[in-house]
Amino acid sequence: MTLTARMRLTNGNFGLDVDIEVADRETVAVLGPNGAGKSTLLRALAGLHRLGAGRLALNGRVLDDPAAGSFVPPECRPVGVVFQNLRLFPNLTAVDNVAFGLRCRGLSRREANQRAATWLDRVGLADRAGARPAELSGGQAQRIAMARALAVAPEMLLLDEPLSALDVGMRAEMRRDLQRALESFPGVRLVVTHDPTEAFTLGDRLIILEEGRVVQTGTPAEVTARPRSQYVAQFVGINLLRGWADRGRLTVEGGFELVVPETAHGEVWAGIRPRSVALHRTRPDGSPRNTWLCRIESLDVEREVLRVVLAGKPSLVAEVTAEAFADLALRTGDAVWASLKATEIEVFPA
Amino acid sequence: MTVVVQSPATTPPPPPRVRRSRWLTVTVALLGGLGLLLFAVPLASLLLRVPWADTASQLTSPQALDALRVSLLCSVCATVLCLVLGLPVAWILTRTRMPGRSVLRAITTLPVVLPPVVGGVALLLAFGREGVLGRFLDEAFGIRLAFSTSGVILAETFVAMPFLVLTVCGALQSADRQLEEAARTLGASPWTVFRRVTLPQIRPSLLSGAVLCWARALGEFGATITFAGNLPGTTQTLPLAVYVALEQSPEAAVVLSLLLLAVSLSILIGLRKQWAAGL
Repeated sequence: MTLTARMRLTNGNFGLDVDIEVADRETVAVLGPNGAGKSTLLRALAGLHRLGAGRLALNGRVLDDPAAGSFVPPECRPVGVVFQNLRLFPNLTAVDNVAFGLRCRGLSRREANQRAATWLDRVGLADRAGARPAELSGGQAQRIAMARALAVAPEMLLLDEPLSALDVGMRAEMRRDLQRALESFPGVRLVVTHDPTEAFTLGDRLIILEEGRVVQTGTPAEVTARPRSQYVAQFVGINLLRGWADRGRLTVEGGFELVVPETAHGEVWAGIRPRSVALHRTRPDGSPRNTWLCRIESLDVEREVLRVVLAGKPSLVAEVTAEAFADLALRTGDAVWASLKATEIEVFPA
Repeated sequence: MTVVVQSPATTPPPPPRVRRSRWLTVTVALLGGLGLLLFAVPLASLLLRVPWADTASQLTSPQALDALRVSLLCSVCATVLCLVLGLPVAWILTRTRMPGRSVLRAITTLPVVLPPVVGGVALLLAFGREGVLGRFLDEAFGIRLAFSTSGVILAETFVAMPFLVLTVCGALQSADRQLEEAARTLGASPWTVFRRVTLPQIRPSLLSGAVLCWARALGEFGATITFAGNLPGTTQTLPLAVYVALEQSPEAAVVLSLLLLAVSLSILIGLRKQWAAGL
């Protein structure tokens, strides 16, 4: 049970040429800069944009195949979409928004509203059933949009920049909710985003899109280790560790500890920018709270910056200037001391 | 870091010379006042000449009642026709890629600026007894539109429809297409999308467009008298009755005018929210 898509289409002077396969219960994050074709891709999957060539099939059913002359219109596709700007119907209450798709499927008003109420309950907004979208907070509107898309029991769930509409303070909480919702959804899940954090935390697999083409695909770890374009290299500026935080100490999977800010507690992600990892020939003393010995696994030159892949506990990517690296006189395979200030580690709930 | 910008000119430009002309103020006030009087004096004169004691009897005279009946029937029918025909026209003009849409738009807008009597002549040439379509309708079905109540409705629809089309076109253009897309992904057929998503968005414009149509239809004179004539009880509407009454009993004309003025004024007050946005 999968999505198989060979998509070729042109939109103005922009062309999309992408092959994608997504398995059931797999969350694929399509990541790319603005104008990479993410929205066009999503629209083509939803049926809001016709393919010029190629073939789109979901669980064996052909949705779009221009050569064969078959096209399933959006209203007949088993696809749920949560749009970037949510697009809740402003004139309908929360419960009517969620019931909208059910009513379109011929359910009576009573039955549709009953099921919608169950969904509201599931997203924890049973008490907001009568509220109109304008009266909902950003997070509440987000959850209503999710409930509305899921209520019609789609086989594929498409999310367009699901966290971008929220203010930064809300994101950590919503990310967790979103993750839970995605995990409980039994079909094909596709998240489209330009936010690397969103892609890395939500996606089991990443598809990096640039100028309408796939430049890289792989697990977050694979993509982080070997960026294959300037764009990927830029956003991969984050090392991600998962662990358990408690009173300023982070226990990372693999059994070692880091000193981190005391802001978080419990299961967390720790984001570390390669630039904040410093390298030394001898053990540094003084301010940095985390120092550890590691081995230089590989080097990657990116303009004047060297990306140093370190093997150790933890294994990280460090970025140093070519000049600084020359001063250290190090080569691949050498042992090196890495240091990292606790304040440079960004910890957020998983 | 401070950025120092060196000015090449050492002397600053002179300050703008502010010349307050008293003459300008006086001229504007004078001309504006004259303009306002142009509106106010005729309306006040009308109100001053109303024979208040006879108003009730004038309004209930057989001729006035007939005209009122014809006017209401025809203007309401014309409004309904405008809605039924105008909404699809507006849809075609805004939501399809039909070639020649700009020409079509110009044609539908034309009756707004066209002298109504020209519209009446055009209608006669089309639907009159010797008209292009009129002869066919007469011979095939025995339908004669000219000089009949249906003719009045047709003439009023002709002049009033642009008001609905233009208002609804604007609303359809500014309606949120993204919501329509969202509805489709939720399984809504095009008709359901229109009924449950588009219609609620354009409803206020549809309503004000219909009211404008009705007002225009109610006041219609030129096209009606040319195409449908002035037969009391059949095609004589209120404006025609006012015109005729002016010759025979000016008092009746004043009372009927007052009635039309009252209708216009209440429409203006009722729709002020829609129009206030444009002011």
